[in-house]
Amino acid sequence: MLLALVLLFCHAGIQAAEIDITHASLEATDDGYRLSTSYAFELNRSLEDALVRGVPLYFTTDVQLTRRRWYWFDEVSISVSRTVRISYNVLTRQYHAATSGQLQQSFSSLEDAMSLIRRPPRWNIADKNTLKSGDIYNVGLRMRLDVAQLPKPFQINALNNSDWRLSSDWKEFTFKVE
Amino acid sequence: MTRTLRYLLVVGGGVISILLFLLASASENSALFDQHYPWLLGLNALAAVALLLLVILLLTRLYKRYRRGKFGSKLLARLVMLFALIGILPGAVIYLVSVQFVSRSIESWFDVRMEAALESGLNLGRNALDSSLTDLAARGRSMAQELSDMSESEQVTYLSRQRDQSMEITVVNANGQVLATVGGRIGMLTPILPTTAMMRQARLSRGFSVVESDDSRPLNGESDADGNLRLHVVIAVPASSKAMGLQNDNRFLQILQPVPDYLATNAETLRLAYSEYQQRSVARSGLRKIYIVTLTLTLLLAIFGAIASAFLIASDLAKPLLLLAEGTKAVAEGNLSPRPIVSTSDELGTLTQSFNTMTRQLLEARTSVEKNRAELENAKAYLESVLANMSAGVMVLDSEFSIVSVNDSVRRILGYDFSGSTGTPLHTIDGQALFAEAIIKAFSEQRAHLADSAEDGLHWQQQIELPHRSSNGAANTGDGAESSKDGSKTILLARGSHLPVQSGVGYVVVFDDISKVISAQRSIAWGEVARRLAHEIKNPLTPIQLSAERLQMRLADKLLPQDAAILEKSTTTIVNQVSAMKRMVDDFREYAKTPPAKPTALDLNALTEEILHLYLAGDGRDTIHARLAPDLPKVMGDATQLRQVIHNLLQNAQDAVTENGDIAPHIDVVTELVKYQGSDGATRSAVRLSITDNGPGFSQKILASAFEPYVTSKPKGTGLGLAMVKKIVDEHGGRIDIQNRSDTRGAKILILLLKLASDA
Repeated sequence: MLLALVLLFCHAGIQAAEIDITHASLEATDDGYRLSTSYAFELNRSLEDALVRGVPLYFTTDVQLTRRRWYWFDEVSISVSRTVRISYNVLTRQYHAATSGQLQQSFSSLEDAMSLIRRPPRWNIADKNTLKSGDIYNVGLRMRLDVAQLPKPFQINALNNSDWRLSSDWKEFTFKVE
Repeated sequence: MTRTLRYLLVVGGGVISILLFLLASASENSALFDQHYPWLLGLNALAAVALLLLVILLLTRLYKRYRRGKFGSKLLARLVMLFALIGILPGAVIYLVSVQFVSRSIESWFDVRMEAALESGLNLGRNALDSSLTDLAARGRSMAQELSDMSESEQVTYLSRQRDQSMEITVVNANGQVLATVGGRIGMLTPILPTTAMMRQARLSRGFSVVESDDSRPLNGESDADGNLRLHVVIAVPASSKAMGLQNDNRFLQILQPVPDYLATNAETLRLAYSEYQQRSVARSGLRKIYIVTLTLTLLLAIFGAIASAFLIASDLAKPLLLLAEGTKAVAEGNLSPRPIVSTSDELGTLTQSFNTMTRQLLEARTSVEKNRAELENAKAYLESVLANMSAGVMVLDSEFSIVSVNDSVRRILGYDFSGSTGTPLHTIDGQALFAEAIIKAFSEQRAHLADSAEDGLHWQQQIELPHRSSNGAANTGDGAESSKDGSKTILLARGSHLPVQSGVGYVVVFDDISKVISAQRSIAWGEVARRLAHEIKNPLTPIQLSAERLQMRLADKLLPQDAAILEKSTTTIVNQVSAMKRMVDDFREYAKTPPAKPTALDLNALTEEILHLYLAGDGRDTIHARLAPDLPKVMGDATQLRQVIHNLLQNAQDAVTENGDIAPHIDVVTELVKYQGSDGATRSAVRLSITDNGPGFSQKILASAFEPYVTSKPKGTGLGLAMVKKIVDEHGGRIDIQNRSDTRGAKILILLLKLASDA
């Protein structure tokens, strides 16, 4: 039993990548740096079932910009994350998707709601002067189902049920600040 | 169990208790633990693993000790097993029951009827909302119908007439421009506009209608909980039939109406309950897992904790017992040093204390016993050494007259080494048959005597004469005085007595060589005889001589010349013989009545040289060689007597070498200083004079009794020469030895003068 638990913890680290990042790019605009991404993934039966039964799901996107330093660990210039909450109202039979700090949007179908997650609007991750121009940054991007925001029983489920472990690999690309 | 381990256990116990408490608290629905629940779980698991490792470590240690048969490990193992069992059994039982209970009870929460009821309630709510939406849509459609023909100013008045209390009615065109609006909430400047998707749907179908939650606020937490429901209807206004105006095309009527409060609240409550129920229903396997994992972790922690504490308690409990057991083991091995005391006030403490008291008493007893034994051994050793150094021979025999033990002197006296003969009967030992016979005879006689007189005879005493040992003479005469009369007998004075030994009767025989004593007695007797005889003989000699002379004087003239010659011859013979006899008697008297020596400090070398001078003068053949030690101390001696001694010895030597024939005669006279150790241990000096010749030597018979008077090898000797020498040397407190030379033919005479002038 104990051993199984330990194994689970180990296993949780090597999550199967079920979210594909189909597109990721960073561009500098006058307002700041805008991240445009798109993902390809489907909710599996367990997740959809839970969602339909009223369990809200949280999808978190983590972005990290690091700059290589020869003398020390890489400097983390920007590390931001954004969470999209998607929920279902059984009474009105509507799906709601809400990005943290923004208004909630309602959708009548799951596909519509998921499209907000699959093709999120551009995201201004940092101000213009945050990055040093001319430097090359390493951009890491990942999206995952944020289990930690779920109630405890689901967290436990996530420990040994791969249905509940939905995540992308870290996608790495470089970005040169003009 | 080491101190570190102990502290580790205490600290670990604290940490584990906190973790367990947290885990238990986390099972409630508290938001704090929601996020870190896996970590908490992991920490607990880690603690359990650590405890498991600790337990394994302890168990391996115990097992190793057990295998090695280390003292006390069995007791410890037993105690640990007992305590662990006490800890594990109830824990396991409670665990099993709890797991069963949790699994069953969680399942029982979710029954089908409950779910069906909630479903029905939800449907009811949906229906209620739907019907009011349908109503609103129908009303909207009729309004739209009427609106289609109205002008803008008419529209507003119409709308405000149609409008209910809470209703918000807006007319927009396809571009989203507001044509008319009525109602609207306070504080809202712009009305809520229909989206293009809504308008598209409204145009394509009979209208767009939806129940939506009025959440115009930003998302924060559980926003569903207090969402106000409202009905939202968008209907395309049909194109005007009479006025085909420009702007009438593509107009939309939007009606927003909040759901009545009572309905909204109830529906919301229902929705929440339903969601909650469904969530839990979905999560129930997880929930069960939570409980089981928590319980399992608790059980594991408790079990490992129990085992670990079992080690603590067992070692605590076993410690005094082990100390005691070690103590008894040590005592059995003879180590009586005090054991460390267990400083508790309970029975174990008193036990160790009394144990220590016991060992102390044992120690004291043993010390005194050993002291006694050492004393006994000392006494025995003392007795043995006394016995060993006794000049008398002591022989212990058992009832069969087998040798039990003998002392060193026995070997010297009997001339046989008994060291390997213990246990052999005495009479079977080679050469001891006579001795054995004499002893056995003596004992049997004594026993006969005892039986006869019935008195307690203590011992017998008897002289035993043994034939002289037939080994070579030089060795035997080394002691000089050991030889006895006839040269063939050793005379022993033996005393025997019974000895009570463990197995019946034993005998002890003490004997001494009294040959010397007897020899001395003989000398004294001889002296006395000689003196008396001389006196008795000498008295008539003078008258005999005088009478003979007178006879010659008176009768010489009266006789014929022939007779006179006979007379003359006879008287001369008488006179000569008488004077010879006188001389002989004088010699006897001399021997018997040697005046006591008057010792003075004397240079022996000077004396020797003086005498040698006389001999060397008449000796042309280089016979006598002197080798005199230069730094010879002066001796105490009577010069006249010592001169006689040297004279006598030289005379003897000269007489001996004249018989040599063709061998060149050779006489050595040597004086030297001898160091010896006195009876008090101090080193002392003595002077030795030795005279060696290469004559024929002493015959065996002479050698044995050379110092006795009238023993001589010379045809004309009186036999008093050596007797005289012996007497003088004895009076000077010296010793004299005669030997035949072992290396070549000849005799050697050694005189040791012990009294030096410096001592006196």
